[in-house]
Amino acid sequence: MAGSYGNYIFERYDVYKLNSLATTLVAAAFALIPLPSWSQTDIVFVSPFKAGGSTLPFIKDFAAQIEQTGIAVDQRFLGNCRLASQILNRTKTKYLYVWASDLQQECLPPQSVTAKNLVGMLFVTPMYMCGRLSTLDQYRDRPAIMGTNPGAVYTALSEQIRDKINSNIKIVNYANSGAIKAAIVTGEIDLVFHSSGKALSRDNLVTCYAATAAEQIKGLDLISDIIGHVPHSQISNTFWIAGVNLTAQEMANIREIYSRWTKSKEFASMINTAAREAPSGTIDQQISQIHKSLQ
Amino acid sequence: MLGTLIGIFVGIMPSIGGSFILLAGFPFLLSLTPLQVIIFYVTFRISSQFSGSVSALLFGMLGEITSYPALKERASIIRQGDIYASIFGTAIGSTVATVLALLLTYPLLFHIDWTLYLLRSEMVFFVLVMIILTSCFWPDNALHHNLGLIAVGLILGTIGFNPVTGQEFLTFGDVYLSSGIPLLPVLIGFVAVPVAYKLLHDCALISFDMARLPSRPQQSLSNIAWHAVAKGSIVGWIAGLIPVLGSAMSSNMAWRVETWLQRKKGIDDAVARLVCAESANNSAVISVLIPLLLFGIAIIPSEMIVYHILEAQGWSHDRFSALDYVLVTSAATLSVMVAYLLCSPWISHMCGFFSRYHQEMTYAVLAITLVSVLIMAYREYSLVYYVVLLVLFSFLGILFRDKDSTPLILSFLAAEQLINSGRIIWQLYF
Repeated sequence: MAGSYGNYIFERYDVYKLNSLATTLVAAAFALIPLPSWSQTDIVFVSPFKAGGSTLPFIKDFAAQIEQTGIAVDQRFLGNCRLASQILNRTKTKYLYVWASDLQQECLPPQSVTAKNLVGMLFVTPMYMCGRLSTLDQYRDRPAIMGTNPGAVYTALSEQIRDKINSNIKIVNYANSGAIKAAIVTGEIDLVFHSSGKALSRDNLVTCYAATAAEQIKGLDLISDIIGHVPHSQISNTFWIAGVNLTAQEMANIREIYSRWTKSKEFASMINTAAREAPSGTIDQQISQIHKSLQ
Repeated sequence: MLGTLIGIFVGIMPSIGGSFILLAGFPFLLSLTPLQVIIFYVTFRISSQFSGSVSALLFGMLGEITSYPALKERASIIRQGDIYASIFGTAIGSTVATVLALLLTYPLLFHIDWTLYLLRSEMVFFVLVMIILTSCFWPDNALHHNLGLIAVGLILGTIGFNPVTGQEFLTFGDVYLSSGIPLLPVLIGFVAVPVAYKLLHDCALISFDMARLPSRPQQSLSNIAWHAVAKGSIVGWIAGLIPVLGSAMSSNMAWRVETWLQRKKGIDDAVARLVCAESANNSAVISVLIPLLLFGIAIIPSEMIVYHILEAQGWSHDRFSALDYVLVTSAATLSVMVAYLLCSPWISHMCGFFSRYHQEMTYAVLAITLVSVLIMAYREYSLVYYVVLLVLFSFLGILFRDKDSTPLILSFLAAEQLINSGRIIWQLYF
């Protein structure tokens, strides 16, 4: 009975008999639904990273804070720092962008960081020297494998550490923190000189001995104490937010929102979850730190 | 629920695979949480397997390649008057197989410590090499075609700046090429567009005959071939672990095993063979997730789309908890039952509708896919780049539509990780 009734519906009313072109246009229009909301944007927040990186929750939260003041923010994750740099210099659109000193191995920042365009530092990611044994000295006379970030600067620092501790340490580059974690958990590597060291230590997978940092982190030596004060021995990957084509008043408003946001419990919680170091210091001190990290 | 409903639709529509629909639903899936995406994917695949076999049994429509055994057994089952018994048996067998597979998978994911060692670079490299090697023998293509597709996939996957090696490959200084070839134009050009082209041009309208169906007899659990369910579950679970081929071949493998065993015993039980095959199908849907949840390695094309979505949301495989697994288990089990309840009374209407309007459906899905991807490209300031890639890959996809592009897609996705893990192994041992 259900079958004959179904046929009756199809044949009597023929409501589903659509022209192919009409169907295509209707479907395409359906896919265009989100467009109108993007046309009302005041500021475009550009990230050179893909969506899904460690900066994602920070960008989303900061954008939400700005939007509470009535400014519409459109977040765009480009996954391409060269394109981001080009875009930020191309048009008269009002932009905010996040950048990291680490990106310089692939592309330069879109502009020189100054008091005029810097909103503030987002967070700092020092490199942590950590291992499976309780002290670094235990590695002085045994072969070991050390995992580190890719990039000439970190490889050079890793080699200097190796030369100071034990020439039998082999250095291996890992693309991201997930790969490093898997490597330390499975015993593929013994030592880590990586930005994810703090998170690994928190998970009780390693013991951290030292870090690259502008200031000493509690319980850790400075890397420069181990290898001496060589170039980049205090380099940490520094993330910051800056503005392009914003008026002085707009910058002041956004700086105020940033200041409130970075002092909030939510921001502290995000920093803790991401195992990052919170920003500190005045704007001038932050500019100085950013320039140092770009050397 | 949405995954189940869409899966039923996909299972019935001939030649429209899961990948095509996942591409069309990409923007929607990005709005879900990672757990919701995984649940959607599992329920979608389970219900598409079931509806595909139901449409194959009832109407001789091959909605899913894994329904091939159902098509083969159809004639025997109709002759014996066992159509509804086989549908009922398939539903129960699929439910039990899903639960069995989930129980087999749980200790592997959460309680067996040695599985951690499967995350080592050597293992990852080995799995990726196996994926490439098994792609060489992709059954729908000749060997030399597979090798050509793999070569193209590896080259496309390597184009761009590699942050680990610090090297650029075939970027010619172009700012767009430096970030590599994006996944979506490759999938749309080599998968979605050729599928749509074939549906619109190469296939005759699906002839659907609303033949009178026999009246439904009362079904009983005691008539289920439980031994076939058990065998199918285990064979399917193991087959699903084989990269690339396992999931698609699971039902075939189980069907062949059961056929051989029956021949040895001198039995001819078509329903048992079918139930064995369909149980294997659903079991494989679960086990195929293991490399994804353990290593973050997707081993079939539709899984790769899902992983791309999960990655964009900041998900990583070490965040998948036991509680998440319980939720996925519940959803998967419910999905089969819901698919059975929905398919039985409505399958004839759905098949009739799709038969009549499959052209319009195809245009609609393709339009949604293309517009969604172009909007994404516009927001990434890469509209022209995406358009050029879409036109190029769509042209190539249509030109080589008679070849299955899966080896190309798999090697494209494996390329960068293969290089990086190979490099790690070199640094570790040499």
